[in-house]
Amino acid sequence: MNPPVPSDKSILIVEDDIDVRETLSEVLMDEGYKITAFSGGRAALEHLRQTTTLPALILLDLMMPNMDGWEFRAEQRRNAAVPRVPTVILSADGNVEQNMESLQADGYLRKPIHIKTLLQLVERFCGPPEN
Amino acid sequence: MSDDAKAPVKGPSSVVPPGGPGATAVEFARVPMYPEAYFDVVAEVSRFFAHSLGNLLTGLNLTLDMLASLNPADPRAGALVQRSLRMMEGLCAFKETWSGLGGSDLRRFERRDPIALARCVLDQARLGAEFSAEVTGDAATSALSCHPGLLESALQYLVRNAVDAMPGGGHLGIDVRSDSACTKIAVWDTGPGIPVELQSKILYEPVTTKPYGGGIGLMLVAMIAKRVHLGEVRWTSRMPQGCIIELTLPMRDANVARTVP
Repeated sequence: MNPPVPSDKSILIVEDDIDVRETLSEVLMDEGYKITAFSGGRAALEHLRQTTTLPALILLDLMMPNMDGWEFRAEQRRNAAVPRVPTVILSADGNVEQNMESLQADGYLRKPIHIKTLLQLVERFCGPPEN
Repeated sequence: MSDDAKAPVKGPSSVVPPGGPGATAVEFARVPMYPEAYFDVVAEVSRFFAHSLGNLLTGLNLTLDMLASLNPADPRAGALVQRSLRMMEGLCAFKETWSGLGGSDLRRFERRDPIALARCVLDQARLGAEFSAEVTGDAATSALSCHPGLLESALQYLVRNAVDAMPGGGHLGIDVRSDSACTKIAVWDTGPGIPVELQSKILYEPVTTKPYGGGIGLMLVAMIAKRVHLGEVRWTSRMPQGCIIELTLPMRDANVARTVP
């Protein structure tokens, strides 16, 4: 099997809250990014193991039932079968910056998220939108 | 300063009552709890609040931003307005469910009639016509020494959970029994029960069967029962129908007699 190919405009969203997941997806798709979204860490990890096109960025919610963002990051870093992809954590926690450091994530977005901050951060990792 | 001198002093005698060592000191000092437990609960409740509100406001922020930038003729406008309204309803529901905590002092215990508290919680739930609900119990139920805000929030959460478990409607209730040692408050429903794969986790890990939410509500209920009231939580699932979550809360005298490990 060939190694997965990175895609500049592709973003993986892992967020259990359906409204946040859908609005994030719609906002970013409107800007021309390609979105794949999952409601939990396990399904997202499985996708990463099997996909042929790697996302350029993962937007990862920290507080999720069943498999939270911490477990996702632990598995992502431990398991060589999960490709390395820049990961930005999403959290309302006041310690989100420290959490980012301890998770060795590549960035963070503090909830509530504002559209301008979101787009600036995504552009940093994925390049400018296509629209 | 030695390490011993820096270590936090444990035990009820070390607790300084809110407002200083005044008239409430004796009453307050009778609640046998580690001071740390209060802060754990405060931290967990705060985390839950930040998470839930952060999600609601993120959804609302982004949806309103999208609406503001849409062409009025865009066919998505209607769906976005509907979504905004749904999220605003979510904010109102959140406020109603957890308003008992607003500005409350976690260390404040009061004596309450648990049957009246249960009736109040069911009244506030404003159940639709597809639901029937009842409060049952001993007419002679003793007053319970409890943190009314937190206990009410826990019961409200359990009732909301029961309602969410029965999207097509059903029957639910709160049963209150007490004896000289404890008060048992059971919230029950005729929903599908707790999925087998979640049963070992529901009180200890964030789990949910809903497409939204952080799944930590039952953990909070367990913390409120166990850590604030030094009680217990038990669940009974009768799949394919019915779930009971029962809080056992020691009476004040039993509470005082209990030794904190």
